Amino acid sequence: MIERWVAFWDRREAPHTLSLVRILVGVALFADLVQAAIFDVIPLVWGPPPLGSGYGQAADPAPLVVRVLGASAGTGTLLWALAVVSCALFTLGVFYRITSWVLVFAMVELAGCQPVGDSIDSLFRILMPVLAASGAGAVWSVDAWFRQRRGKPGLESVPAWPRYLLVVQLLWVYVSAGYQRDAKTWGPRGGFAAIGNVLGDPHFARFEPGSFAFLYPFTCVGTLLTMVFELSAPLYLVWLWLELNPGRGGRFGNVVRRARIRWIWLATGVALHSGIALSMKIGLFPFGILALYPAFVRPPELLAALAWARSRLEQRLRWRAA
Amino acid sequence: MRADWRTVRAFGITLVLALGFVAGWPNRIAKLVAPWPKPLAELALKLPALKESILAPFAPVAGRLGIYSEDWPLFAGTGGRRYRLWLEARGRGGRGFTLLYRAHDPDHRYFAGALEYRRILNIYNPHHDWISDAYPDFTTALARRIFREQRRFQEVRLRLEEVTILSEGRGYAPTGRFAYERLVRRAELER
Repeated sequence: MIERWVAFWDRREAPHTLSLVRILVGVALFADLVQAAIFDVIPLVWGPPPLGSGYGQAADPAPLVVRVLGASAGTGTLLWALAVVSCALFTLGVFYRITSWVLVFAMVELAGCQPVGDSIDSLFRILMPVLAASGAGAVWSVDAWFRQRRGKPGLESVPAWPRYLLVVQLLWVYVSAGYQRDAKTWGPRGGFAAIGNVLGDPHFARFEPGSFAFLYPFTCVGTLLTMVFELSAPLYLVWLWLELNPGRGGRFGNVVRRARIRWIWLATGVALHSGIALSMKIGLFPFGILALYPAFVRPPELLAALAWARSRLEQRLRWRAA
Repeated sequence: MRADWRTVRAFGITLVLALGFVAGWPNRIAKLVAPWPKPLAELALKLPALKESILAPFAPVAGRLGIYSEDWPLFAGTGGRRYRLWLEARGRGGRGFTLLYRAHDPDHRYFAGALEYRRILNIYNPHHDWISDAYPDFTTALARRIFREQRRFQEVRLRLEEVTILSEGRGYAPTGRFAYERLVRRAELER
C-alpha cells in the first residue's frame, strides 16, 4: 500500500500541461501587476503610510526587503518591479528554476507590504511554489529553446505530482466555497438569487445593475449550476478514475464515460468563470483560476488536442492555397 | 538512495495534504453549525482550537510563504446590505462637497480606473461588518494625491453609502445612510 502511494507520487509525464499552466498563470499575473502601473497606484497600494496604504511596511516584523532597504514608496515600487520582471521571465521560461523562485519571493514580499488581497492572491501564494518546484519550464520556454540550440535533448518527462497538487487544490477551493455558501441566497429558500444579487452589487457589477433583470431566471439557473458544480468537485476524481480505467465501474462507469461527465464538469467550470469575467469587475480571480484549468487535462489529451488543432489548421491553409 | 528520496517526497506531500485539509476547516464554523443539533454543534465548535494547535508548529514556515489558510468562503453571502463608494472634495469656501467619483455613476469618474482596480477595491469594499485595516491609510494617501493634483481642494471625504440589493435582479436601491466615513484635511497633512 505504502509502496503504491510512493510510486503514485513518483509518476512522470510529458511537461506540456504544466508548461501551459506556467504560461497562462504568468500572463494573467503579469497583466494584473502591470495594471497597477497603468492606473498609477503602485505607491498607493504598496507604499508605507502616510504616502500609501501598505501598512505591512510599518509592521513588526516588516517584510524582509523592508528590513534591508527601509520602509519607503521606493521599496514598494522596487518590489513591484521585481515581481513584474520575474513574472515576465517566469512566463517566458528564462532561467526558470531561478526566476520562478524569485517570483515566489516577490509575491510573498508584496503581500507583506500590502496584506489586503483577495482569494486569488492567497491561492497563487500556495500554488506558485508548487509550480516553481515543477518542470513547468521544460517545454515552450526560452530555456528549452537554448537547450535545443546547444544540441541537448529536450526533457520528455517531468514529475507529475505538481500537477496532481494543482488539481487537488482547485477541487478543494470549490468544495470549501460550496459548502460555506449561505443557503438563503444560494439555495431554494432564497430562490437561488445569489448570482442575480451579485450582478446588482455596485462595486462588482460590470454592467449597470438591474439592466439584465430580464435574464433573472437564467441567473437562478446559474446559481443552481454553480452549487452543483462546486459541491460535486470531489466527484471529478471518480470521473477521472473511470476514464483511466475503461473496464471498471460497470454500467455506471460506461454511462460516465459515454456521457463524458468529466468534460462536462470541466466545461461547466470554464463557463462559470468566463461568466464571472464577463459580468463582474473583480480583476484577476476568474482569469487566474482559468489559467490553472489546463492542470485538469492530462498531457496525452493536451498533445492530442494540439495535434488535432494543427492538422485542422494545415487543412484550412491547404484549402486556401488551392 | 533513490528509493529513500521517493519515500521522503511522498511523506512530505502527504503531510502537506493533511495540513492543508486541517487548514481548510472553516473559520466561520459557528455560523455554519448554528442549525445543527446541540451536541454535534458543540463538538464542531472545538475544531478551531484543535486546528490552531495542529497547525502551530508549521505556521512559521507557512507564514514565510504568505500562506495562512485553506478556507475559501468565496461569495458566501450575496444580496442584503452592500455598499457604494463616494469620493468627494471641498474647497476653501466651505460650501458643499464636489462629488469626484461614485461607483456606477458615469458623470463622476475621477480616478475611476484606479478605484475599480481590484487591489484598491479590496481595500475599501466592506466585507459584511468590517473593512480592511488598510482603509484609513488608503484614505489619507488618496487625499494627499488629490490635494497634490487639485490645489483648490482643502478637504477630501470618502464614505460608503449603504445600498439594498433589490430582488429578481433589479439592481440596488440607495438607502441614504453612510458608513466608514473619513474626512482628510489638507492642513492636517501639511502640518
